[in-house]
Amino acid sequence: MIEVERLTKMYGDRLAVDGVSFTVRPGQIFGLLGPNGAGKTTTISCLSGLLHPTSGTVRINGHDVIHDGVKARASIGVVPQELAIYPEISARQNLEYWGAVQGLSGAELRDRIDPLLERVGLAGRAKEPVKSYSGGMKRRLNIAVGLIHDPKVLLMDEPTVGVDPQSRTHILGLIRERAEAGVAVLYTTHYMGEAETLCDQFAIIDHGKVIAEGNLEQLLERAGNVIQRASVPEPSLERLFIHLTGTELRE
Amino acid sequence: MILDFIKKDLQRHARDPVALILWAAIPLVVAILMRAAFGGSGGHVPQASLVIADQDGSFASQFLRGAFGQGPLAELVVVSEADSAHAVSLAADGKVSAALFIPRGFGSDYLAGKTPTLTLLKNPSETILPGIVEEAIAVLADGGFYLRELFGRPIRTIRGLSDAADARTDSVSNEITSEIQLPFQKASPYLFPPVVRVGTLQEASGAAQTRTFGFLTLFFPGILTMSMLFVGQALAVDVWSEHKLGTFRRLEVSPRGTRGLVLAKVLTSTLVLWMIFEILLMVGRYLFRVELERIHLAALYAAVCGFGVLAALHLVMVLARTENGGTVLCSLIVMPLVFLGGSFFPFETLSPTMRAVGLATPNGQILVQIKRIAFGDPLTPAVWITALGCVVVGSIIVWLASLQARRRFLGAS
Repeated sequence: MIEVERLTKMYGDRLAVDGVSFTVRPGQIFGLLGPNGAGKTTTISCLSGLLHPTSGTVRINGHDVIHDGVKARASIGVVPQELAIYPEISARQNLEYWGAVQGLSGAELRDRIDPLLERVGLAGRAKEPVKSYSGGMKRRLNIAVGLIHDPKVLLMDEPTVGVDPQSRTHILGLIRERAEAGVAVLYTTHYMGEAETLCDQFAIIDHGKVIAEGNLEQLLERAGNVIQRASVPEPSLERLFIHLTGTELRE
Repeated sequence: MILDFIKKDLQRHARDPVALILWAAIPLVVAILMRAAFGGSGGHVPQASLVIADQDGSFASQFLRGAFGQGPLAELVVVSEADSAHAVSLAADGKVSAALFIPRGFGSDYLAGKTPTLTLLKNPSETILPGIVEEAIAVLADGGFYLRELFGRPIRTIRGLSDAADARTDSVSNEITSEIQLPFQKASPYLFPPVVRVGTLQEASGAAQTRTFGFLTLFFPGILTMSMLFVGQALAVDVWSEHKLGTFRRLEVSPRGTRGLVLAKVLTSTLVLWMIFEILLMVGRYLFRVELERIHLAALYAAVCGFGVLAALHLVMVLARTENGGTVLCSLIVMPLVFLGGSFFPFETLSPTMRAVGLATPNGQILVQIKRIAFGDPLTPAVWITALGCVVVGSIIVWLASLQARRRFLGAS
């Protein structure tokens, strides 16, 4: 479970996250949406303990990320936006290493690696160096590393960027599967269609503030009102997103 | 956990055998070139060749020529004679290390208390050997000065007698004898017996006694410190790859965090260096036939000392704002250390001043102790103190590097 209360993060004078609050329950896939620079990655960094919030609290499975950081981090699986794996070594060696980092060893670690490799479709090439993999395969391994210790909370920062439709479908299926197993998933993406089909709760964030929150129906209902006023025939999450955050290009 | 970090980095290095081969090959190539340049492992200490053009032909100029054939100078400098034009062409063609021109009137000026000028033409294509000749001449000039101060008057008298044999009388002989004897009498309390007695505390081992100190023998241990610096620099860059790959941040959000990562990197680099040292020393001993002993101990010792050097290079890398900046900064430190610290130019070929500078460098100190081990000399406390110092200082530097890595890559305070 993820509990965020009035989370604020400032870089010098710049306010990156401004009083954000939300809760992600076990089994829920929570879509944190927003344009570039809205504060999504900063929020995730505060949740993972990588950044210290300026104010507010973050609890992971009941553990405060600042005061009880080790226990909090032990519950988290992080899938960063950029690949964070070693290209020189194989997928198996990567998983062995990251599993050991999470405190796994021996038979327990070995027993987790094979099914996970199978699940992400890398079992056939598990011994090859990662640098020989396609972009989609690397993305899948990047996700597998975040899952190796079977975390109760999964923080996923745009995990499907640059992957082909087959890999994307595979990855989304894997995330749903984890959610069904009771994992609380925080998911960020720029693909609104993807978010619509995957997430069951949303927060749209811009300029560090949550500007809309709810499930798809609640948001689309709001979009419907917008559509009526704007005379747009088909309400969708993407249209609502553009309406709320504007069409101006972001850095 | 540190073992897991080390295992992962060793796996990464093992997957890139070309880099490993190159790291070991670069110093080996240097050794092979040096071996070729100095005629194999059995080669002697390089000798400077000096041609002397004596335009004076006096007592003093003969004394100067003869001095090059005496004692240690005879081992360092091979002297030949030629007329001035031929001496110039020999030096210009690079056939000798240097040409020395003794001008007409040199002897009489010397005895008259004037300052005669000798001209030395150095072979521009050589650096060390003409330097040896120049140093030798400077030493002889100093010696000549003191000789003239002490015995100038009797020398002038003897020279005058040889020109006018009829003037030899008992009184003149007595006068010369007493003039030569006087300085010796004054100095005798200091000279006989000597104030400082030199004693041999320990016999050199049999191998050391029979060892022929070829140039390659002198040069080879320096290859280890050269590798320590060059390979160390290449390995230290890897700390930046953790940042670039995003693995440093990912590790930070794990329960274990990044503590121990830099220590593990330095230890991994130390293990890689150890392996390279073993290869280098075995190649030196069995392929080049360099007379090295205790090679496994020497390799282990060099690796242990290398821990301190590697720690320092890792710290330098993370002090820089970028990977390229770190590489440049490391190069600015490594290159002078390689040149000064006895790796390229053995201490035995350096001037006393440069040798003192070289010995003040950390790699210079390490090199001295490696030679002690590899040449089978007695293992003095300095050997162990140097190693302990490298480990202790290295550990402190690793701690600083870990803090700096977190600052640099995470913005942590």
